[in-house]
Amino acid sequence: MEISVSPPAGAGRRQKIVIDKLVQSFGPLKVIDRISMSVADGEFLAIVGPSGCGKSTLLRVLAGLIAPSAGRVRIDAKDVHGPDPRHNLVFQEHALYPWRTVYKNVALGLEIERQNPERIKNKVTGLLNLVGLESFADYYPHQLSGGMRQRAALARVLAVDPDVLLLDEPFGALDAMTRLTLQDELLRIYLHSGKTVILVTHDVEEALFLADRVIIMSTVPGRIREVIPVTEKRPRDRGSANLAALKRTVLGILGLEPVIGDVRVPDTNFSI
Amino acid sequence: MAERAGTAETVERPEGRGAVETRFVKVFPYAIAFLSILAGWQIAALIFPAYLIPAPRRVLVRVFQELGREAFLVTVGKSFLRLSVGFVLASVLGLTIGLVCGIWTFFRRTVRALVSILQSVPPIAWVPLFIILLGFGDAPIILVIIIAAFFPMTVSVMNAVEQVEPLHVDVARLLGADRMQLLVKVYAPEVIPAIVTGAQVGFGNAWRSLIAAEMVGGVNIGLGWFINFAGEIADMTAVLAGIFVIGFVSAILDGYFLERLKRRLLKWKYL
Amino acid sequence: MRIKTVLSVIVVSLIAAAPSIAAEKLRVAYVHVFDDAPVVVARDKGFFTAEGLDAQVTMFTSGPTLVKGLVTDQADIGVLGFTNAITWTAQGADLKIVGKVQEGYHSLVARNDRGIKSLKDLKGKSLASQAAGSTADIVLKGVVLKNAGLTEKDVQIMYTAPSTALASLRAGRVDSAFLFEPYDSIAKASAPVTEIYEVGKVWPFPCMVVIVPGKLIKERPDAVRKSLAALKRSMEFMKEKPAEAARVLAPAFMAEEGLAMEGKTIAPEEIMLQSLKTNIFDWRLSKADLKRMEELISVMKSLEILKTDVPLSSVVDLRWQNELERQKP
Repeated sequence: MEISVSPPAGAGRRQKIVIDKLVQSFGPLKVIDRISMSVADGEFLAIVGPSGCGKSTLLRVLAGLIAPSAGRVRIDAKDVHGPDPRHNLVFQEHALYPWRTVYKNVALGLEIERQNPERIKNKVTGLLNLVGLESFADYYPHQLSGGMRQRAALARVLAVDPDVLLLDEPFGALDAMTRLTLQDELLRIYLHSGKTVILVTHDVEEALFLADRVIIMSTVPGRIREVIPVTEKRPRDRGSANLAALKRTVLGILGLEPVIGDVRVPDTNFSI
Repeated sequence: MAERAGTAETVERPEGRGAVETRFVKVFPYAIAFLSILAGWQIAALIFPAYLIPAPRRVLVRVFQELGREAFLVTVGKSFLRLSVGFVLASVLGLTIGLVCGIWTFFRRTVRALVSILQSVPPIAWVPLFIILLGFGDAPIILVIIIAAFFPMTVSVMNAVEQVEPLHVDVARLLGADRMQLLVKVYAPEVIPAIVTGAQVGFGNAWRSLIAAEMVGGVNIGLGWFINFAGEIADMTAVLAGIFVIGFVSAILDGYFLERLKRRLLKWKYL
Repeated sequence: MRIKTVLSVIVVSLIAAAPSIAAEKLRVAYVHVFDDAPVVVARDKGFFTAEGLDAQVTMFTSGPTLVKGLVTDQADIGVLGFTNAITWTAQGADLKIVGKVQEGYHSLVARNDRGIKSLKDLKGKSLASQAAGSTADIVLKGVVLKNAGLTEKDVQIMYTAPSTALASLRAGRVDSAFLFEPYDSIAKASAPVTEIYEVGKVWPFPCMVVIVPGKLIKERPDAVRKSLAALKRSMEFMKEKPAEAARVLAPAFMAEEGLAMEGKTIAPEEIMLQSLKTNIFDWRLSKADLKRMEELISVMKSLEILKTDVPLSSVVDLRWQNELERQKP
């Protein structure tokens, strides 16, 4: 079965990413089986699905870290050939360099671009302010909390100003409170920047809170099962009846009973 | 931002009292070690006749006398020259081969096999062969030092390159790094801890082999020779003076200089 | 199988040792050089046993190593270069020289292709010698080189085991070597070298002597006499029956297969016989010997090996030698 996924009708935006019958195998193991979809410029797309459904692999293909086994992946109407700073990925593990300070980590991409020091300084300082790490510039990653590290990792990617932001369960390893805070921040950054964002997560609430559309994938091999558009205006109320109903729908599709008082992400609105 | 304020408390910077404590913690074990050696020595000196084990005081006096003698300084200098040449060559060679091994799998397997065979041979065992092959003088001794220091460096770097975090490489690639930038910005810093470890282990090996090689290597200058000669002419005070100098110098080189270099290169680990 | 062999060897040796249980135990130490051949002969021909001694003979690689065994009570009696007794006495150890074994025969051999015809030509050349600070080394620096107008700075002296020196000579890694038997004979037979100097001919001196710790003299003076008597018999035997002595010595100093040389093999016994001819073994320390020893003590002082005065009379005790001389028919 093949589901064709296109941006919401009437959005009137051009297609930023087009995936056409993508197949991805590792040896005999087929991880992604003929996925086709497109993402509009400036859209926020979330992908949820059980472990092993190929979500992360999909992001790696989009980032150009893995070449597709079959099918095409195009961004801005051009085939993806290898990594490109304009389509960047934030890993689940923060992947900061332990030997670099927060400042130097954020500056990494700019150093690689061989920007002049003055520009690097301005840009990094601005980004540290944006993610609220301005007073931790000289700290090493191991001195920071998990949330701070993930902010730094986000800032590092934002430094090269990508127009496609790929997020691979960026808040997966964080505690519930920190996660909510970072969701708010991500939303703020997204709304300001107008970047195209693809967020892979296993947190349904996170997906519904942030995304324009939520794609639900099935497991081994990964296929698109369902697409749920979320039309509620941002910023959304995490406790709204509409989101709660959508959550029930998504969990139903995933074959999970909606749990009242979810242990990991309480269905309540925290005042932060 | 509740989260920010909350985590700030868990972040600590070593300063003030912490730094003083660190220095104390660093120096104290050395002092204890030194004093216990001295105590054991003094007790031994009381049991054995002075011509076998001279008392520490007598030996210390001799150390200062020797340090005022040009011939002794030349001998110590010669040992250092051999050590430096051998150690630096071994480190560069080990680093290069270790890096190549990290990248080229076939070469790595070969070198691993070679290492497992050759590493079991104490470096000093090569001396007679090297003397015959290279003639007498500095060459066989330096070669022994190279062998002694080469393996730890190679193995350490080889393992480190194999264990470079793939995620770190991906990050740099995604940010557009070319091969050179990958090497400089990811591989090199990632391997530095291993280089430091390799250098420290290699240095210990090199230093021990230097002294041993000078004792049996057919030379007539150097700290090892000094001790050996003193032993041959019944001058146990000079033997112990030489041993004292060796222990003192290597403690300073290893415990101070190499440790400082390590902390400088791996600053991020010690904060 | 192996354990059985070992066990049977132990049993056999226990049985063999049984009659000599009454014999006096003595730990005899020697240096593994031809100069100490009389000890090997005394052991293998049973001269120690004949004197009522149960000698446990231990081999050392050099005199300076052996003497440490004497001062730390790990050996009762040693045959080694006499200077070792002087250096340790100067430090306060209690050692006595009680008899002689061999005159210092050390050859200076040089490779034929290095243009070394006499000692003077050694200037700027390399020379392999045995342990620094040994009797041979003292003689080399303080007598041989000095008499040729050279100092230790003019010649590049390399201290190494004689076997390494030999291999280096063959390989051309060293220009010359100061060698004692049997390495001297082996070198001449197997390397392109010529002897340019023989200290035993030019400047005879007592090299190998019998040294005992004062403790043994105090506690078991008779053991000293017995061992000197055994060594005396041994040296007389070597003089009278050199061919038989060579056969006894061959396994101790030579590889079984002998020496392969330009296609033909030289038997070990032949080399041993050669070595016996070029050595002078004697059990008496003569007046001339004592004079030489005095001279060497002053050489040691000039080389700064000795920092205090050591009167020779305080180190030499010849009462057993004199006793043996009186017994002479």
